[in-house]
Formats: sequence, C-alpha cells, structure tokens
Amino acid sequence: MPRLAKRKATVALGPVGYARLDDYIHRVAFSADGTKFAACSASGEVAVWDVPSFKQTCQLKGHQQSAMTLDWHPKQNELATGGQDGMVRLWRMEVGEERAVLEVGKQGAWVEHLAWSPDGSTLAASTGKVLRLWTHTPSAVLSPLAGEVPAHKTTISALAWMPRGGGVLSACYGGAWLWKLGSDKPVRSFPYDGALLSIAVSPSGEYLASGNLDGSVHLFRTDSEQNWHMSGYPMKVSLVRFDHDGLNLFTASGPALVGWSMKKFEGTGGRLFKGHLGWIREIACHPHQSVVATAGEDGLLCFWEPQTTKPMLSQEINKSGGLSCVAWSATGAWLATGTNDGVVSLFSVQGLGD
Amino acid sequence: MENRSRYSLAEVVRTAASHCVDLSIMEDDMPTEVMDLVPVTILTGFLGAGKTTLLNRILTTEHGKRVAVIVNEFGEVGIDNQLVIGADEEIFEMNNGCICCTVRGDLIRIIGNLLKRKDRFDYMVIETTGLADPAPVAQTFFVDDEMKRRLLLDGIVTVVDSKHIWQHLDTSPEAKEQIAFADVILLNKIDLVPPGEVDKLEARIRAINVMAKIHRTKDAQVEVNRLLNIGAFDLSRKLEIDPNFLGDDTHQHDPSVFSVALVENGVVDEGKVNDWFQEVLATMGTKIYRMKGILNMQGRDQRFVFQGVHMLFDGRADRAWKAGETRNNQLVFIGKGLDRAALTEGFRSCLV
Repeated sequence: MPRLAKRKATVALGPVGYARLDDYIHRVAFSADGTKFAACSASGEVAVWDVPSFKQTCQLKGHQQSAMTLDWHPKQNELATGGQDGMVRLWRMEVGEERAVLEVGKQGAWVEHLAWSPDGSTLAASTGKVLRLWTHTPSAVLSPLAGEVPAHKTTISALAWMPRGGGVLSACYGGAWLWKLGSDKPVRSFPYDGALLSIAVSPSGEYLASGNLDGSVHLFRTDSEQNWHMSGYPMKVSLVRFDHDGLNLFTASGPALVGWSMKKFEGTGGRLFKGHLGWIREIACHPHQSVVATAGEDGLLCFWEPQTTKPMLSQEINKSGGLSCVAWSATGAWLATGTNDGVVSLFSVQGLGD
Repeated sequence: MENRSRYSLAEVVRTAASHCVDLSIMEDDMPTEVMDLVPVTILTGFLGAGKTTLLNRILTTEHGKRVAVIVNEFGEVGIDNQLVIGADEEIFEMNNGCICCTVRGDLIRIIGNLLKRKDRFDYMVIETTGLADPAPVAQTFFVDDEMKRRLLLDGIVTVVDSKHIWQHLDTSPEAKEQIAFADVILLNKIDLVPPGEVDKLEARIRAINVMAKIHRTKDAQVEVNRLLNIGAFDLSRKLEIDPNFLGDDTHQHDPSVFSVALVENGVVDEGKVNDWFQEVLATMGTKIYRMKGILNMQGRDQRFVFQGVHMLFDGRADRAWKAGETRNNQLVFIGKGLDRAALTEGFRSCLV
C-alpha cells in the first residue's frame, strides 16, 4: 500500500496594516469577541483598533508612565490596563472612556501584572508584594475591593487564574500561592526554592508550571503533592505556556524554545525547537489548534507544531529592532505583534484551517 | 518534596544531538547580542555619609552622560530626573544558598524594564542602603544573563563619614564590608575632623582594603571621572596594583576584615595555580570579598590578570610584559578572617 503523503500545511500571514506608538510595546491583545485589539506601550500610551479594518477606535489617555500590562474582560468590551503610575485603569469601549481608576499600591509601585478571572467576575492586579482583587459589577463603578493579599516575601512576578472558579495563583521568590476570594490565607502553596519568573496553569487546571531564574522549569500537580523538576536550560526560563489542549508545555530560555509533551514527559524529556537567534519575548498558543507563535528579539515571528522542531513559518517582522509581543484572536484567524520600537502590526492568518 | 522527580534537559539533548553546543554557538552569532554595555557604578556608604550629595553631584555635573539612578529610598535625591527609580532590596538565592549565587531580584526587574524604554541612558548608578551587602548587587551583573549582556559593572564607590565611621567600624560588619568591597573610597566630611585623625582613619581603612583609591573630600567634592568609568572589573583595562601598598605588613590590622597582599618573584605553573585557585574559591570563597592580581606564567610572554568577587572568578592573558619590567606576581585578597599563612604558602607551592 502506498502511503498517503502527509498534507503539507502552507501557513501564511496576510499583513493588514501597522501603526506606531511612541515606545516599546509591552503587550497586544484581542477582545473576546474579536472585533478589537489593544496595545500598551512604555510611553504610557494605550490604543485600540477595530478588526479587521485596523481603524483606530480610540487612544486611551491616562497612564502617566509606562503602561506595562493589559487584559480584556472575557465577556464584555472592557479593557483593564496597569502601569508604572501604580494604577489600574478600566476602559469601556462603547463610550471609549475611562470607567474606573483603581489605585493598587503605594505611589511609585508598578502595576506589572493583572488578569481577569475566566468568568469575568474578578480582576486581580499586583503591585510590588501586594495582590489585590476586585469584583466586577455591571454598575458604573467597579469595586469594592474584594480582597488584598499582602503575604508575598518579594515582588509578585506572575499571576494566573485557575479554571472554573478555582482561584488565582500568584508567584514570587520562594514559590506560588493559590488564593480564593474571601480568604486572606492561601488555599494552597506550591513551594520552590528559587525565583519564579513566569507561571502557567494547564487548561484542565491539573498542572501548574513555573519558569525559574535558576534556569529550570518546575511542574506541580495541583491536586496532589507530586512535582517535577526540569533543569539544564541554557539560561533563566522567562516564559512557560501550555498549548490549547494542555498536551504540550512550551518554555523559553533566551533564544531556546523547549517543548515538553505532557502525556509522556517522564522519560522522554524536553525537545529543543530551533529557529530564533535572539531572545524569545513571548510564546502565544493558538486558541484551538496545536500551533504556537513565538516573538523574538531577532525580529522573527515563528510558528511551531509540537511534533516538529523546525518552525513551520519564520518571518522577519521587524528589521530594525526586535519583536516584544504577539497575540492570537479568540478564533485564531488574526494575529497581532508589537515591537521594541513601538510598531503594532495586524495579520490575518491563512492556511491553518479551522 | 519527596515526590519530586528530576529530569535534566541537558541529559536528554545530549543523547539526541548535543543541542547544548548548538545553543552556545547561537549565542555567539546572535545579531542582537552586539549591544553597547552600559557601565554601572555601585554607591555604598552609611546613612549620612554623603551619598545623596555625591549622587546629586554626579547628576548635575556636565559630563554628557544620561545617568540612570536606582536609589534605595525616594525623595532623598533632589533632582528632577525621569531616570531616578526607587528599589527595595530583594535578595534571590540562585542555588542552594551558595553565597556567590545570590543576586538582587529587584535590580534585575527594574533595570530590565528601564532597558526597554527608548529613553536611553548611558550610565547607571545604584545606591545601596548603609546596611546592604554589596556582594549580591555586584554579582547580579555577573550571574544574570540579561544583566550580563546589557551592563558592565564598572566599580564600587564607598562614601565614609570621617567623623562617625569609627563607631561603625567597631560595631557594624556592614561598614567594614562596604570598605572591603570598594574600588574607590571617599573619606568625606574631613572638614569636621582634625587632619591627624584623618591620617589615622586612612591607615585603618588601608588595612582593610589595600586596593582602593582613597580620596579625602569635603561635601563629597571630587571629580566625577575619579568615580565613573574607572573599569575596576574590566580585565581588558590596565590592571594596576600600587606597589607601595604591596607586601606592607606594618599597618595596624583589623582583626576581622583585612587585605592579604602577596608579592612573589618567580614563574607560576599554570596547572598548579589553576588547582590552587579552585581550592581557594571552594574553601575560602565565602570569605573573600574581592581579589585581583597579575601573574607571571611559565612559558608565557603575556601577563595573566584576574579578578573576582566571592566565588566568581575571571582571569585571562593580558598585554605582553614590557622590556625591563619586573616580572613578578602580585595578588591581593580582601576578605573576612583570611588565612594569610595558608594563602602565602599555597601560592608559593604553585611557583616552578
């Protein structure tokens, strides 16, 4: 029997357009309904564009200093942004105006991480060693403060929500902690003797992964005490991400992308995916396919499949500087990138099927 | 942690196709790696010694540099500068409490963010509190990959209050540590102390740190080029040990923190000295704050120079010995409770 040739995926990016903000793009993200995408920059600028027209809807003015992070509400057209001015700002797209300003910490403390709970009921934001939670209400003013968690030894380095109301995880030097609303004590701790830089929860909620300063990845079962340690990385592990079905864990250490199969990582180990020449700045997993996009300081955007260690697509997006971030739309039909020097680009993704 | 299972990626890739080797090659020819290194000066000293005055002097002096400053407390620096940022000391141990692997997590985070802004700076000064250990600050720039490829530790400057330092020297290990770590020491506020007292102080400080350049100042008045861009950690720059301070055991010795300076004629056996350094780092690394030296290696026309902080060691061949130059070996170790006899004897055993 002749073997059928494997269908070759010819994936391509269709450039829609680009825009320029004033400084390093910290983050790009699509709204839940896919009609908009936003970017925030080190100049404090936050801008929102329509998809696919790439018409700028609004420029959200408020952050006095660098706008470090943003997250769209999972159900409504509302955007939360956090900045070096110590503020979380909430923006309502229908009116293009600020809905609320939430002071997270003392002056001079940066809001580096924020995230909506998967059901959209709670917003978590951290500044320095403090994690704060707010309840989302449909009324005009958000709040009141739902909780404050001051128990961190060092500055919080990452936040991640558990699925299905399982609470929020925060990480810093010494481990990660799971918090639930209404309790100022952690529900569970995940100790690790080192500094955690990035955390991710698998879609099922069974696993928590951390990328660490000491050049290792630590993996915890959330329902037992079992944990695994993956070492031997060339340098610190700055990013960990599970793909859409949680079958693979992708990790970045400098220019090295390393994938671990969650089905059989015991014994088989990690695989090195070669393609980037500069440090990887973001790993973004396709929302419902086994494809991940990586953005590198080398200006390259790469697409990878878990079973192939060579990129299925490698495209130079920025010739003059590096890429700083990348994000998929909820359907996977669109992709946005940001660069070191303030350029935001929108692409349609062709050839991945649906 | 009894349920922990360990997997080494290195082991896995070794069996596959020695990918680790490929990674290091990649690092070498990464286009983005060619970056100008921003020099960093660490400024230490007790509260009230004159650090803030000195900082303001550095920021206001016309030197054509855009200086970013990390201060330990806001509001002390009276300069309207976008690039002044406050930081709270966060010590991260990288590896089972090994002292050479402690870094300042706050600096990695803050500097990492500063480097993203287009508002570029070409010099950085980090002020520490009077109680801070300078080692993790210095080690941050040798241990963390991101810091290492963007910044270069230039030197450690310690400001001393000539009037009040005596009481600190007797009671505070931090005061001695800060002096021991320094490349440049300002004996500040000399106008408040009789000259004879300053001489006594300088002798005491010299006994702790035989290597540092000492300047006597009033209101921290000193030329900025004596503090910045001194290249104290840069082996490619000229390494100089003032012969006046070498082998001089007449100073009054501080019982706990002091310098051991060795000057030995003869040629060194490369293999033996390598083993010896490994042993010294392993057995005394936690006690050694700084070390520096020039060696006359057997069969080499170039000087071999080295420097180190705790267990971090950097050594390489330097310029050729000049005609007529005394070819000898000069080594300085500054640390806590160092065994002078063991160091001397150990080094002598490396001579051919």
